[in-house]
Amino acid sequence: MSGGWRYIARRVLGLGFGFLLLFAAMDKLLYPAVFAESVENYQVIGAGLSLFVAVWLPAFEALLGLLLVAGVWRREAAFLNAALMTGFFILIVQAFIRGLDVECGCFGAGSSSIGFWKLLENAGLAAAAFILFRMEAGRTSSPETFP
Amino acid sequence: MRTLWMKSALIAAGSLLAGILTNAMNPFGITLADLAVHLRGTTTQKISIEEAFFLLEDPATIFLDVRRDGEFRIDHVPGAVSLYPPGAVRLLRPPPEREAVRLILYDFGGRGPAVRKAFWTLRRAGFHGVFALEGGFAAWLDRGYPVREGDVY
Repeated sequence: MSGGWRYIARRVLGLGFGFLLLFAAMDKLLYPAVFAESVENYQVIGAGLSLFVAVWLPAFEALLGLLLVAGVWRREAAFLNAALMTGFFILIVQAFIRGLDVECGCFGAGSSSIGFWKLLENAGLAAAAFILFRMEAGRTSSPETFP
Repeated sequence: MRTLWMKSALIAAGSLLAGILTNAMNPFGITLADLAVHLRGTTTQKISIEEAFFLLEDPATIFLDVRRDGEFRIDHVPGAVSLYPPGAVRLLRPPPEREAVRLILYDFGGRGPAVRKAFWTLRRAGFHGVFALEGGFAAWLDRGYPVREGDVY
């Protein structure tokens, strides 16, 4: 891929993930108690940790989203975004394997339930997040960096 | 590589601080007062269909319907009050005898986000006896319990 196309793909992916994270954070920031319930429904962590996650995660998503949209600390934001998407994918996979009938809580209350398509969607997001991180990581070390 | 880890840690720590601040400023955030309730389980307190049915004539119990206005107009639990639009729940002010009031929230299936949002909003407003109807209005209809039809609030 030429430098110009590589730059465009990097920015499109960065902006896409940025806005997606900002959108995902909105409902959770407004109703943290409802989000805590969604987290606990996964039956991975207890009530106390669910509350901590419900307070921290929406702000984390919003901050990552802002960094990706603004193009500040892009490599770090892309790294954390890839880690986050992988974490979500693992969470969805374990819920799917255990046959838990829960809503994913991905975009706050009222999100779709865990199923095959949700699994596929998260696999795609994790893969795209890794591609973005590889691009951002290569940007600083490669001599072909554009612009 | 070291910069990557340091900046990532900074983002994670910064977001924790931001999360605590936004939660503190959020009128629907998690309060220390509610922490004890949350730690017993973050799930909303539920009431069974049978128990709710026995409370139908109880003057201290109010059924709150969080379904859409059109659905409420078709049929609802007798004596229920519509909480549509969902934002209306924020306008509710607890009466002085709020400890004695029992509020039973329901949607159609019993698992919708509107019930959970209304539950925590009412708890934050000072209502302590708030419950979500297990199975929702669908389970109520399944049991053949009475319903009221028509445009009554």
